Amino acid sequence: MSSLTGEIVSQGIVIGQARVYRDFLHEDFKDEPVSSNPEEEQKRLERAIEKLDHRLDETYQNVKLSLGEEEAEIFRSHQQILEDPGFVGEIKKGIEAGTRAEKAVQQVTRLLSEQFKNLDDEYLQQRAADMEDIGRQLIEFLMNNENQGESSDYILCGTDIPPSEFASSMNSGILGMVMEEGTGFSHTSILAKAKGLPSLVKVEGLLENVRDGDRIILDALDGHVVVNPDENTLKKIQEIRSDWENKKQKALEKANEPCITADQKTISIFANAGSVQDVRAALENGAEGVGLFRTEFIFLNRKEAPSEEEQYQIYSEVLKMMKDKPVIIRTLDIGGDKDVPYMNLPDEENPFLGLRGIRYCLENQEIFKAQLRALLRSAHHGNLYIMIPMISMAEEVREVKAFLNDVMNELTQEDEIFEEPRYKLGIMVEVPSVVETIDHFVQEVDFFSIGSNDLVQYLFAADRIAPNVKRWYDVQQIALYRMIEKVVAAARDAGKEIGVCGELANNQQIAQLLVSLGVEKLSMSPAQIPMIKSVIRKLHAGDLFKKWKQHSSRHSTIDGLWD
Amino acid sequence: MKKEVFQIPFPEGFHARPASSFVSAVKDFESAVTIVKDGKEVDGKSMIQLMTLGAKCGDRIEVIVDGSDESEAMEVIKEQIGGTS
Repeated sequence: MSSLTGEIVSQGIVIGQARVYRDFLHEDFKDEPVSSNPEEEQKRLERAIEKLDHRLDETYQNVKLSLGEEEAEIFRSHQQILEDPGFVGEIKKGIEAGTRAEKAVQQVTRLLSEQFKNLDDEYLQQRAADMEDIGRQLIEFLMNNENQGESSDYILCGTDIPPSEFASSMNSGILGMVMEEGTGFSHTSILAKAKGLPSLVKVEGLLENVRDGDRIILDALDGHVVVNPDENTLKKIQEIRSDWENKKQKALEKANEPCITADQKTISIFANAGSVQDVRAALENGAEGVGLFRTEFIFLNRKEAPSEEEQYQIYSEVLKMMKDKPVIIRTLDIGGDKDVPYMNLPDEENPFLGLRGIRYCLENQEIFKAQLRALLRSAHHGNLYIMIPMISMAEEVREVKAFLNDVMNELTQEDEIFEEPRYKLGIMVEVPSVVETIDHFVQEVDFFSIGSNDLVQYLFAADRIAPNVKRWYDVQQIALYRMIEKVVAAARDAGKEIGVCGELANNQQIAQLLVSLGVEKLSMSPAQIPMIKSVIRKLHAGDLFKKWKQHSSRHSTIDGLWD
Repeated sequence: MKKEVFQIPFPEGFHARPASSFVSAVKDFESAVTIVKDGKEVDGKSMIQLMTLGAKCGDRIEVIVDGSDESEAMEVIKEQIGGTS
């Protein structure tokens, strides 16, 4: 029995058989072809390409259905690699020269991947992983080793498991995942999180200690793996597991009940969503509204802008599903960091400080107008809140209101029986200037939502996706919570609704702190709702607020606030 | 055979959007399209090979077009990468 520790990506405890992921890209193949002549060998390659293309198609569809379009897109780009003459053509040349197909794939893949790794551009360096992922799968198909739905109840172990391997495991009996390397932000980890599959990364010594078929305990509550556990350890872990599952189950049973703190404050728990599927998950987990519906996903990965009609259908469906519950739909929030061909996004040095969100929409009124028309037309179907992202000045809000007014007039002129719908207008609080002049904004809008992901980035001047400034993108800093405290108090004094959407609300301790600071609405991933509700029901907000006052005057971070 | 030298005008470099647009513009020509940078030659109809050049804004590349429709192809390429230098 040996025990190894790692970093938790997604919580849970599972016990199962290890399945060690084999890396065909570095397997030692013989040189001689399997077939008698190169033509036969070419046919083997073509069959493998066809099968892989088919599997990528299936994976794309599955991932799109279960996790959404954005997560699925990577598999489309992999299909394009399979059509690229610079990849397939080179492999064929190798086979022509008498090399075995597997070996030819290895050689071309490794060569291209090396070239990408040597470039001094981070985006291009990452393409190496795509090449390796595709090459590896192609070899798998050449060897007829597609591990089709064989064993069940297994825990996938590997050095750094590629997203394709993980996604194709999702439909078999996978219980959990452990990686020796990897990070919590890699594509595979994001998929595991979205799927709620217990997972660990950075488990040192994993492959030295685990063999295919070993029985292992994956404890992603405490962050460790036990290989071939003894009876005693198994017994203990099963107790811990049933304890945790009970807690989770209880939380789920009470998911639909209101969330009231121990000192009688009623908190609304909303869900973040990007698709109709997410809204379904929100309802199943007891969401009392949609706190952030991201409309970007409707615009990404397509050749032309979605029509007003298409948007109208989506917004109406979401509003109908939620009945009278509030649905906060955020207008298009896109900037130059995204590649959307029809939008003519500018190439900017600093896209996060550039023409994004409302700044783009006010300059590209055709796209904005179609979205607002679709929103206003759908408003009759439910309780619509329209939210504007990236606002930094009150003038922008006034411009939006004037534009909304024009759009409304246009609609009533076109159709005599079109009735002016009821809706609320609000803004994201994500640029610090809004906090400083919140007294001006309360006169302009009905509600506010603090977008913590961007607020942190703009407050600390730290790019949220740049790895070298990760240290400064720090959600533990007192400055962040002082700012939230201030803006929440001002909005509430003016009688305006204010909530927090963004990653902050997913964290159980931080969610408690936000409530103590006066936040009455939290919006989070649907899967987190039951647990957050149960944690907040136990919270005495007044007590934690007193602690916060003392702690924040003496410390620079919230670390230790709960001790 | 036609040869031209270009200076990359794309701020983000010759990959992602500009490269994919380049490849779709040339791929249906019969002529072979070869791109040379610092002595390294790649197939101009392959997005992957193009990206391995890591060509940045301001870098010089040589484009060689060879085949029956080489003149037309070069015209299209000029539209894609812009001014000769």
